Amino acid sequence: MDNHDGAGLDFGTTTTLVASTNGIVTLGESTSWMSSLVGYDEEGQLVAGISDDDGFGGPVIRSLKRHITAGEAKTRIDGPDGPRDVAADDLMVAILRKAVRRAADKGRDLTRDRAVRIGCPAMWDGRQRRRLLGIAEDAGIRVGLADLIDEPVAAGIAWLARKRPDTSVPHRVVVFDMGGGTLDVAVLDVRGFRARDVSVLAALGSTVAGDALDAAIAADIEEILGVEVDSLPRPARARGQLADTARAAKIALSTETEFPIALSARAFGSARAATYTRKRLEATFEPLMSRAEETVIAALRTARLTEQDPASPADIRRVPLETLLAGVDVVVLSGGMARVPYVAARLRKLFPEHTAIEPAIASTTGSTVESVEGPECAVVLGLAHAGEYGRINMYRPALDIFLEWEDQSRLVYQAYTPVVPPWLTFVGGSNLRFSRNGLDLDLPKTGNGRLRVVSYTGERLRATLGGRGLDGFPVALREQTFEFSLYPNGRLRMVDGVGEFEGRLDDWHMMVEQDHAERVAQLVEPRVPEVRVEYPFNMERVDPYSR
Amino acid sequence: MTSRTDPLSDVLGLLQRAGEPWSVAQIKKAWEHSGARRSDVDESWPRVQKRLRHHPYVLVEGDLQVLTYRFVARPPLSAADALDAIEHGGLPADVRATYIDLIRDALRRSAVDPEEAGRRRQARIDSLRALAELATEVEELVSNEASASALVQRVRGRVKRSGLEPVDRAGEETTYDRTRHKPIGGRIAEGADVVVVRPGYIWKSDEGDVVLSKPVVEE
Repeated sequence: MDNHDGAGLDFGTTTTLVASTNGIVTLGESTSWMSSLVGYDEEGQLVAGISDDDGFGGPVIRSLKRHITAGEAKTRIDGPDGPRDVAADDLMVAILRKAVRRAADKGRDLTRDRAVRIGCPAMWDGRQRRRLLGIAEDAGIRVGLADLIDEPVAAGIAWLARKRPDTSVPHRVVVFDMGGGTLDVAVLDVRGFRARDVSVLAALGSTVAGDALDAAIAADIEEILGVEVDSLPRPARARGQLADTARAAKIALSTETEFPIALSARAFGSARAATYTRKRLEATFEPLMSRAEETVIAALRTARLTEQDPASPADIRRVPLETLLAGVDVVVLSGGMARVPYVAARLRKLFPEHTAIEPAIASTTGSTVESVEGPECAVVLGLAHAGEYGRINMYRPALDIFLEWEDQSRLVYQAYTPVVPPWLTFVGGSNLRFSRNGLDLDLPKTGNGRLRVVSYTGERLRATLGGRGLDGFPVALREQTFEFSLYPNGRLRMVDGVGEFEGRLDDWHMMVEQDHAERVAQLVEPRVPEVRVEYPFNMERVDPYSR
Repeated sequence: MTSRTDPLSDVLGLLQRAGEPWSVAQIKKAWEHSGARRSDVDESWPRVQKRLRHHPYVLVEGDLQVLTYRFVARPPLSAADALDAIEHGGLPADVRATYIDLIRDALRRSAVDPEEAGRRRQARIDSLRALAELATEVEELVSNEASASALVQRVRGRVKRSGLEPVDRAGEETTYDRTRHKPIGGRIAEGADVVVVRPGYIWKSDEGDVVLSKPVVEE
């Protein structure tokens, strides 16, 4: 059997998936995915990949991946001897090891050198990416930084692999990836006739997603029924039923226009029957989708900073909405929420007629809910196909730049560091850039050094300074006169003891951090009140909408 | 040439080990380094270049001034694309042979691949899960004393998400159409008034509609 083509690994907050270019590699006993939950059994043994349906007796740890996002090393578990802290990385290693074993059972060896590409949130910086690489390595998966692909980019690649559009003319693609906990929006440029390059112009994240909608629907149903759950004899049971019904209504109304509700008399007494309509769901979803659209618009504005001669942030804020939207060729939908027709309908209304609104992979509404390849598989399928594309991780330079002299060196730029801090992008001045100077780096008063570049893409570096290559460029060290600047449009500038040098770093673009969308939204539009997700609606649950 | 292997295989091996796009000059230089004589390289290159341009494992980038060649682990061509290309005709013999290998490889993998077996098993499980969920939903609704109409509505919605479309509704009156209906209790004349005893179902598949069961009717 041929096991030498590409494979993808999507280590998600709630589920873990593996795919090859032939399709999903099934990992679960009865599901295509494996749970990302871990727990300790009665004997204190770690068990990875357990699911809510297992009826696991011991403590269960959820959302481990968020420890990387939050930069937390430990997670607290409640054991029989009281609470104790456990290294989160060890638990994640256990999950990935199990995925490796399960994939091997299906003939897919993930431990071969660079056999697999792994997804990661677009907002992760170099440190977070390296942490995931370390975890993967401990699980026996040998990958490098260049093998980590941003999740929304992977979703875009899934669409490219399916549609294979003619990209001899550049395509601008917006990826709208709405899962249970997060919304990721990425603006991509795809170009090149055969070896298509995918460049990320901007990537933003937000928490406006499926869980928030579930909570809003549950609150709406409570209102329709005319009950106050807290005043019922068993409020916890009633809340649990409401949460289940809200999810069921959301799924059913993806194909139906009405959903009859019939709750149990034990929890709700007599007030337990009603009809929930798609119209009502859409009215509930409306404020959330409005905020999601703001994230899309903010991403499109941010993408403008990557242009060759970018306007100032103030000017970019003033670019009319029609102009921003007009340049988009296609909006690609992924994540469980792609099944909800209102998502596509709203984006259809937002974008001009020539912009196509398309699912990342073929089956969305109307498909079997637990189908082998639903929209929640878009990321992992895109990862599996990523090897067919050219440069795909170029928006934050995937390279370290060192300044070396004698036997010493300083890290001037660390790979994947955001070029512009989020707070600066839309409130700062026109001279937006990443910059380090002699004082920052504590350089010697005199001497001769050189710049050293370590690239993680495996490709030949296209970077110049002062008319020659960036790698090895000589630096005159004089009284700490040194400044190195990277601009969002690829411009390089260095000042040293003998002069100023201009240069370029080609084919990469910038991105900003997760909370950036919120900040931009606040600046551009009045704030829509946030829907608070309360217990138990904020509980992790593995359903096709919650990835 | 010192090598007795196919020159194309030599160059492919070099490109595979390079792992990055190479220009013509880089390929020739590496070829020489691997032991080939300069004169042999120059003589063989036009034929090798022609084959490289059509090779499914090679990506050619750039313009005619600066072409680069890159080995890709998986061909950008699917087995189906290869079959189309062969059917279309006009391929050089060696390219045709490579495409045939590609198709043969795909067929072999689909026949014994545990990955594919896993996907087939999963598709079966997913169908059974949909059936199990339907059964549990009906039982729950009955336990919650849902109305009959609510029960039917929920059942219809549930199966619709599996791609099933109901045809007619139990209890409604219609006229008999022998192509659409299945009679119960004897022959029915075309166009006669009938009552639907049981609805039918159509599977709305990607390839078109598949009638799973016709509505059962009686006069």
